[in-house]
Amino acid sequence: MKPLYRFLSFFLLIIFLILLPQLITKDYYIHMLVMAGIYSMLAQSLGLIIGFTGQVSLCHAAFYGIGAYISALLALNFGLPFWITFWFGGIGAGVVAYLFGCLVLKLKGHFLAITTALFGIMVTLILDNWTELTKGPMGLPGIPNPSPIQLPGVKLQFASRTEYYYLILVFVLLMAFVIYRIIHSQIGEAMIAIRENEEVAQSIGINTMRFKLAAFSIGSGFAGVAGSFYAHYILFISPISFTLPESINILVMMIFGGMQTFVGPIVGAITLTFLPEFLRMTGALRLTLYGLALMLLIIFLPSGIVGAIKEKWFSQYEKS
Amino acid sequence: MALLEIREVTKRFGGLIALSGFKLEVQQGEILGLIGPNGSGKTTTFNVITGFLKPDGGKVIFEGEDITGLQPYAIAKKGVIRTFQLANLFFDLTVLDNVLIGFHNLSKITMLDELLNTRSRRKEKKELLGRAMEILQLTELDSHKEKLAKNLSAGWRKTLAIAVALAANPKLLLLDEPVCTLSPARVASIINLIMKVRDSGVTVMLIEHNMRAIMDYCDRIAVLNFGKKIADGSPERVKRNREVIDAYLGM
Repeated sequence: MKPLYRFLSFFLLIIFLILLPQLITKDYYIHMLVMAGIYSMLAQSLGLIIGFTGQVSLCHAAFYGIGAYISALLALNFGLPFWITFWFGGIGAGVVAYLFGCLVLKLKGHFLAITTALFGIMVTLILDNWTELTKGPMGLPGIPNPSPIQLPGVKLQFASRTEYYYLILVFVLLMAFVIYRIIHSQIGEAMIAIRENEEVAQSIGINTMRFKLAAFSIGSGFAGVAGSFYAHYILFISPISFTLPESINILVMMIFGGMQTFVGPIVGAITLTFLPEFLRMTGALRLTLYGLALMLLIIFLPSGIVGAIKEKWFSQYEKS
Repeated sequence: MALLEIREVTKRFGGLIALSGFKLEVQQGEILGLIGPNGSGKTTTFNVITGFLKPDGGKVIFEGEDITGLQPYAIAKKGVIRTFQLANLFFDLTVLDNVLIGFHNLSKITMLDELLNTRSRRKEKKELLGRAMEILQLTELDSHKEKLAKNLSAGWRKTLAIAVALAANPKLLLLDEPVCTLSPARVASIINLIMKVRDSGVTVMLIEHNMRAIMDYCDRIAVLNFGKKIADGSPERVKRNREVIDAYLGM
């Protein structure tokens, strides 16, 4: 009965997500949904690194930016379509993460956090100052839309936000599938072992460096793909979108939803994309209230929304 | 040929000499006790054997192969598995999951199998679950299998640490104080477990403070004092050794 129940609720969720744009009349809210999709990718990929492998990375926005810039530069300079550039964006960000990870993943805890934060700042500085390539703070305008694709029955032009919504939906679902499979595999088991106790993990033969690198490169690679999508959606990028505060924003989304759970980061990303909008009715106090809400949640629900629900369910289960 | 050979191993921490020219051979199928006062270099010996510390001099030979200076995971893959003094575990996971993670190196499935959830993957998962249950039964942990490791008592934690080590398929099992500070009933049950493990063909080397446990169950005992081996032989002989009595037993 249980797998059937699961399958059914998943099926209904997909139907709901497909019909969602029909229920929304305001174009702006569709835009918010697309952004929620991008942040879902960022938060969940960061969840693989921090939530499951326990390696604190404060430079996720840097890989998001690396993906966006690689993609935008390839599109602008070589006229490559999005369907090719997003691969380069993702793989490029993954390769940079791998090389950087070889240097820093020996570090633990605070040291790793500070080093990755500094790396994030360094990437922003490079984007800001390598003006021949990146045009610096002026940013890169005129990035092309994804070229139209013909699917059986429909032709996607990428002229309306709704089409972008469906594209990001496919991206999020594919990434979620890959991450789900990873965390429920031997690889995910090894990653969790590293998070729980690196020494014991080594003592039973887990090559901890290898799995830390895998988590870091795969997670950062997905951030790069999200960056590519962002570049070809907003059609303009500048270094300001990929700074340390953005990394922290992604981090907060992940913690808010529940970083040690599979769906948590996505729930966090969606909630925190929309929450500031709903707080608009409070006027000038908006960001203060937003900050306060975040602090209270982290104090009272340290394992996040989904984490807290799971814990509750688990403790009931243990009592019975 | 000895299963494990420690050749003239020296380890310094700054000015402190933790091990100096330490020599020891571990024979296939024995239970070897390593005893000595606090700070005599017992845990350092384990750390050097398992690669958690690099020795300043000397060699560690396992099954005729030089394993000195290899990474801990690589040494574990060769079949040298250790436990830690403080019963380090994956505390936020269940007892069953702790043991399942212990199987890490036994898996033959590939990433592609994992991504596609193939039949061989599901078959292997089932097999490993069966083996985990066998280990839990052997260690009498089966009634605790759904508990989180952090909710176990000290005695069961030490038992679980051994269970995780057994899952990793050891040829040589290094136990760091497996019965220290435990209640007599738990001590008896863990010693019983260690005997069973040895009878299944695993060589055991253990560090212990609990002298009585050591004397009765070890085939051989080596005594360390200030990083030097001062005695090595059957429990009866070691018990009568003058130097050992002075250094350690104090009786």
